[in-house]
Amino acid sequence: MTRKNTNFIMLHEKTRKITMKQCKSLRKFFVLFSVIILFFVLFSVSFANAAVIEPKIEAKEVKRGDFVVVPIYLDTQFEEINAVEVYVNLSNNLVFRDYLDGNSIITHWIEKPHLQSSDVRRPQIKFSGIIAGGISGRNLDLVDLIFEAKESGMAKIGIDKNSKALLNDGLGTRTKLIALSQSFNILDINRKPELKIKDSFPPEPFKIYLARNKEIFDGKYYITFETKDKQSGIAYYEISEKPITFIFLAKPDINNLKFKKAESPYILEDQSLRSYIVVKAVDKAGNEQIAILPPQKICSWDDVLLLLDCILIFALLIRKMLKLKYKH
Amino acid sequence: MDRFSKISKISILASIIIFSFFVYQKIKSASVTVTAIVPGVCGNGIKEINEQCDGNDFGGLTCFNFGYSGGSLSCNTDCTLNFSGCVIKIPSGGGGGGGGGFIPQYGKIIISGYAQPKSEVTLMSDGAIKATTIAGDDAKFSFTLDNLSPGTYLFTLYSEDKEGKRSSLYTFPVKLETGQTITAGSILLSPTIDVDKLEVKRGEFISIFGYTQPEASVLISVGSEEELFFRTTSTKDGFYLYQLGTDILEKGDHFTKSKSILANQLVSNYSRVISFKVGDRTVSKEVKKVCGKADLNCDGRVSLIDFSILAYWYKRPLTKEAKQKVDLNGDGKVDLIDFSIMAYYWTG
Repeated sequence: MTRKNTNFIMLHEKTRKITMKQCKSLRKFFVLFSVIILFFVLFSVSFANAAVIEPKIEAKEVKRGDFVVVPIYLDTQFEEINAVEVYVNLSNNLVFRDYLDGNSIITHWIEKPHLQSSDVRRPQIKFSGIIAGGISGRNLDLVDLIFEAKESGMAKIGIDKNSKALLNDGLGTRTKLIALSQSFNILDINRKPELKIKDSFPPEPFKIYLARNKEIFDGKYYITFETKDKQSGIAYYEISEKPITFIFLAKPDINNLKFKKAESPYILEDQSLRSYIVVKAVDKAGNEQIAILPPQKICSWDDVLLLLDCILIFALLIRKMLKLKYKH
Repeated sequence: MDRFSKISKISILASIIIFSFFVYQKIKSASVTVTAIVPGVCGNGIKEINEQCDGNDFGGLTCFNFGYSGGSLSCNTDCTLNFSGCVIKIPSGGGGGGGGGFIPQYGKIIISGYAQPKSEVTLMSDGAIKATTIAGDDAKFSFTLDNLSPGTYLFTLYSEDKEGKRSSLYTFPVKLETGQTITAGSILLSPTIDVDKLEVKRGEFISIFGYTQPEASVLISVGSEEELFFRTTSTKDGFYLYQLGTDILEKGDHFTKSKSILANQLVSNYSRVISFKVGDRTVSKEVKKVCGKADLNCDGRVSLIDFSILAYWYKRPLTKEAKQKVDLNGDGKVDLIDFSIMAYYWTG
């Protein structure tokens, strides 16, 4: 074999190697491309028309003892949602302390956020509520959950796949849901728990609704009420019933009323409806908002009879006096 | 080597099959049988499933739905939303404090739009009625709410026409900063809708009618297995009527809904859904005063009182009477589905 020939064979080998290499890389590219397409198709299918519920934690690291505020967000993915039932799983180094619903899109709570599972190793929080009229959009705040970072290590907060989001279609159709989770690190540095919420605004003005339904509360009169506080959230409600006495209809002096803690719906103590009902909403910063329901009945049958009696006696007295006067 | 190439070939083939399957599905879902107009493709001006928008049809959504404080949405050529016209307003000045203690600065929202001529428009905030007004002859309405503390509000609007029929609810969230004034304008409420027959003999006509903005284009959707679209125009007093020949419909249950298009620019979301049956006989719709769906105490409204009744029965065994009244989907229990149905019919 001549040198030329050997060179040619080497060159040929080289080009073969290059084409083999190219072929290999082309094949790799095709595999990668097809995997990407497959992933894209499956991913887009799984995300199409599925609402997303996810916890959002800004800090990646917190200190032991810190209070962590975790907003739970809803992305409706262009669906219209009007009811949610959410289960939040958390690692056992977190302790559920409270929640803030001032920025929540939930208009009425069916179940406020509470610890659902009694198993301390697998704590779970549940909440459910409706969004009257339905809503469509991104980054919609369902509620802000407050946790205490109890022990160091990785902490996880995740939405359980059994959570539900229902469409605003008048049928309560369950939509597909993507439940996401998030983790953060709790550093082994101790800190005194402290959570300050600025709130100088009172809760929103509200109305008291009087109702009676023969099938519930033994047919007794009851009231319903609900309001929101946009900053710190409602801490509790207080109620006072101030009975009116005959003729005296003046509004009660709120400072002198005796309030007691109550929740809506509340069965009225005065079933004769002859009382002023005062409901006080107090937010977590102590600001108050008051709503008053005036008496629905001014006087009872006893009062009417008493009034008639009085008129009759008065008329008789006048008659007697006039008689005496004319006699003289 | 061979195995590798086989795997790659199989994966390429699989991805092509899956991809073409979904493309086929998409094409299939887009090709609807149409009598009057042909929707189903991006660019026909009607927002459909898998489209975020189409032309000026944003499915009733505004910038507010996406956390912006104002501006207007636009639609890209591929029927995806364009947020470049949306704005986030920075809270207005504040203007120095002065001495003394803290004076809370309240915000304000101005909401305006179009309903039906002389209709009663109701504004709710977080599900509670805040104000009502009567729309003008031109269907315009306007609300101003002040003394609002900073925070997120969920505003809902609906209207009730001259005949007492209601539009669907229009809901949008607003994040209000301290002392901020937000203007939400050009809101187009959906038409009201009704039909004159509960059941119609196949081949006869059924009237689909209601009120909307004056001289607006009305798109009527009739759906069963396939969705059909028809177009009509409202009169000067906002009344619209479409006589639908039922020979094109199969026997069985059907539903209809409508949306309005004003000056080829604003598109409302769909009205409430009304159902009717195509069968062997014709049954007129009697105007009977019955309790509306989810109106549990029969007071003509779906409000906190009805919610409290439903909440009472939540997770409780239902009595016979309660089953008839509060079990809104008839599954024998009160659960999240019943609450969802109530939220759909909410009036505050």
